[in-house]
Amino acid sequence: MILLNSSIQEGVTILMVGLTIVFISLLLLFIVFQFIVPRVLKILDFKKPVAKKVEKDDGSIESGEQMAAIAAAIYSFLEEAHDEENAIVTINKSRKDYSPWSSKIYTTHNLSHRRSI
Amino acid sequence: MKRTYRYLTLVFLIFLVGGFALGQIADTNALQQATDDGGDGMVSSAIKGISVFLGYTGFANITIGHIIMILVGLIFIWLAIEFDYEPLLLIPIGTGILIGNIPFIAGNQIGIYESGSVLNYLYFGVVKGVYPPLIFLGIGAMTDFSSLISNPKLMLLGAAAQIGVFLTFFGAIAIGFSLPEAGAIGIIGGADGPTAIFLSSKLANGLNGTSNLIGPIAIAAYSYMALVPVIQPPIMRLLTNKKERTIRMKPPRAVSKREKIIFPILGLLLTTFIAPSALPLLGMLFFGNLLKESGRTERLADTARTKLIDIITILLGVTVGASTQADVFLTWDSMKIFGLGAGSFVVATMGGLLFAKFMNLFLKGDNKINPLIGASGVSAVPDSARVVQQEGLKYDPNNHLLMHAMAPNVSGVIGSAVAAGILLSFLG
Repeated sequence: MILLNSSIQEGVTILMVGLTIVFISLLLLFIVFQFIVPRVLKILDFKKPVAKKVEKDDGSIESGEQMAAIAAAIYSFLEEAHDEENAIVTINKSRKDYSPWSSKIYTTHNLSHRRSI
Repeated sequence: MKRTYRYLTLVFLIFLVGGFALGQIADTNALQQATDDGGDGMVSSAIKGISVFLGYTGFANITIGHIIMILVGLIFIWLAIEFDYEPLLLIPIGTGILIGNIPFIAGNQIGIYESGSVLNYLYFGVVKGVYPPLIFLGIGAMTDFSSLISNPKLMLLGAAAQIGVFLTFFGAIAIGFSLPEAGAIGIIGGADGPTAIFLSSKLANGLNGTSNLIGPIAIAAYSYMALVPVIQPPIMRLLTNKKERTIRMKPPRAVSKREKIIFPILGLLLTTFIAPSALPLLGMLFFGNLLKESGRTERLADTARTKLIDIITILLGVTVGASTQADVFLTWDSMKIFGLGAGSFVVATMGGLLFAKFMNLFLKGDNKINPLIGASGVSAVPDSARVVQQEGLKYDPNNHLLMHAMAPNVSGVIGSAVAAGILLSFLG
């Protein structure tokens, strides 16, 4: 009983301290990314010469509008693209069968059957 | 499909009952007869050989515990295939449970707990906590922290959900577990399988007077993670009203590449300086994320998030499943762990939801948070975020909460790893 009581006391301590530390770690991350990082990046951007900034485009998307435009373009492209055909087989003939009787070769090259005497 | 299951069950029962009967007969009568006859030529030695062989089969050594565990394994596989509940985890674990519960005679280096067996070598990665950091590497390489960076206040929801870990820890002490065992059980509330395995392999590994609770803790953690779509929605409905559930949040801003690179570096430094014991997990998580975001190591990131994590998931799932040998697993302690695990998921979900409501007291206008996303602070990536999205859509078909929910979801991963580190530093 005494052992359980001392365990419970230690458990309460760990509960309080542990929960506080978890909160502090994530609170610290929150503060850094909410307030510090954006300001530091702003200052760094401010110090950069304008021309250099244009040169050093890292290809990342900076605004929501750009992202929306790209998403819309991809969407319309995928809507337009046809990966699969309807695969309906028809029995209509697309061209006439070959026949020597209808072949042009016999009518165009055999100009004359008469022999000259 | 139903007919297939019916036939499979029937075949399984016939196989089990028939084999069991044969095994028992061979084990007693035939062997007795063969020895009584006293070497009556070839027939006698053949009968003796067959009966010895049958005595080695699973049928002769089966116990009711084995049958229960085989049924549990089959249920896991069924849940994964039929309902698509975490199939990447439940199929390896379910199969592992089958592997671990085939009865055999000890001493032939077969079982997972027998030194020198193949399964024992594979289990080494669990016992020594090798697999969890590698899983975290893969998770880091596939996680996009953008939603968290764009709205950092949502990190606090991930912290709030960790109350599940600490209250379960307290509950475990109250029902008689030792402090290190309670710490390992508490982490189930972090809803993070690798973290649970990592911590239990350090605190409740059967050494230093503790019981080996790795199997029950891992199974409880993964089972409840798979059951997040069942556990969380009723709590969400209980703790929020319709007006709160339809709150529309501001769309997350676009995050620059520089911010994405800075996040894993600063995250690593800040969190591990506070909780160095969580270094193996957080170090690998942020390392994996840096591989992804740096833009220069796409090959490594690709390996970490595909092949590597797949291999480790297979090994981890099968060995954790196989570690649930009936004689080790079916104990009252396991039942208590399952009860505490369910409680921890409920408390963690409540913690996230209530903290989101609390934050709303200080937030105004479109900065308000939809409290549903608090439920995703329990990690279980990405299932709990998916549950939030589905619940949100039920009350407003145009309110997509997935991206918002991913923020507390990934911060829950960080939070549970920090919590594991703290417990380890106190109790390790």
